[in-house]
Amino acid sequence: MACIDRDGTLLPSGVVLLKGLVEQPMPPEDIAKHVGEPIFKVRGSLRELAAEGLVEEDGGLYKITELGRGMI
Amino acid sequence: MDPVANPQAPAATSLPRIGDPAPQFTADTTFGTLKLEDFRGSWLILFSHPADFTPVCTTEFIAFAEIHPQLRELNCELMGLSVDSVYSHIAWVRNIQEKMGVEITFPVIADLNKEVATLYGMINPGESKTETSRAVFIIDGEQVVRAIIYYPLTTGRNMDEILRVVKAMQTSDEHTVATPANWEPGKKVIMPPPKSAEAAELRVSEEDVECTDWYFCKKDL
Repeated sequence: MACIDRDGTLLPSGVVLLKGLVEQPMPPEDIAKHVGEPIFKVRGSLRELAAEGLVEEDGGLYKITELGRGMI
Repeated sequence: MDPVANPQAPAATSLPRIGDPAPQFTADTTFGTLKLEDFRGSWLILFSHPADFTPVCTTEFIAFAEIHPQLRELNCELMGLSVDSVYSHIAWVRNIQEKMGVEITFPVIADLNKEVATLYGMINPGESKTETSRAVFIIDGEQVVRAIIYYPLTTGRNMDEILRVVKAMQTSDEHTVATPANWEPGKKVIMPPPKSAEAAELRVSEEDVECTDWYFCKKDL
C-alpha cells in the first residue's frame, strides 16, 4: 500500500502502521495481524517507511525510529 | 495466428508453466510499488485484463471484487494488470465505485512497459498486439504457478470456476487427493491410484471408500 505520497505526505495507512510499532518491534506477519491488513500491503508499506527512515529492520523485526515517532 | 501467417505480429513470448516458480517482479500498482514476493505466504490470483474503461473488464472487476472476501477466507489475494497507467487505473476504480457502488479492494498493476505481461506471456499477438488477454495465474504461498487460465478478449471470466479451482487445489494439497470433474466442496474426492498390487488389494477392501475399480476410488473427506 502506498502509505507515503509523492510529496512525502504520510498517509493515514502509514500512521496506523507506525502507531502499531510504538509498543514493540514486530515482524511483518505480526504487524499484519495487529493492524488487520493483508501481509502484502504491510510488506509494501514497510519498504516505503524504511526508505524514508521512519522504521528500521533488524533481524526480521521492524521498529519505529525517532523520525517515525515524530510523524505520529 | 502464427508469425508465419502474420509476419507483422511480434513473436509470442513464453509463459511460465504449471509447477514453475512464478517469475518475480516489482511493479507500480494502485497500492503503490509492490513486489511479487510481498505476497509470499498467501495464494495469489494474478490476472490481466485488456484495458480500463471497457465494459467486459468492468463486469469482471466487479465480479472479482465480489469474490475477494471468499478468496481471503482461503488465504488468497487478487492482483489485476493491464497496459494502462496507474492514473487510468485510479480513475477507473473510482468510476466503478461511483457508478456501480463497488469498491475495488485489490491492487492493479500499471504495466505500461509490458514488463510483467511479457514475463507471464499475457499478450497474445494474434489477438491483440497491445492489449493483455484475460489471463489468470494462480500462484500458491510458495510462489509456484499452480494453474493457468486464458480467455479471449470477448469473453468474461467465470468467478465460480476460479473459486472452485482454488478450493480444489487447496483440498488436494491438504488431503493428498485429486478432485473429479465438476467437483465442488462437500463432494467425494478421488484417491490417488495405488502404487502396487498389494496396495490395490488393500484399497478395494477399505471401508468408507467407494471403488468402481481398484484404480478408481472415491471417498468423503
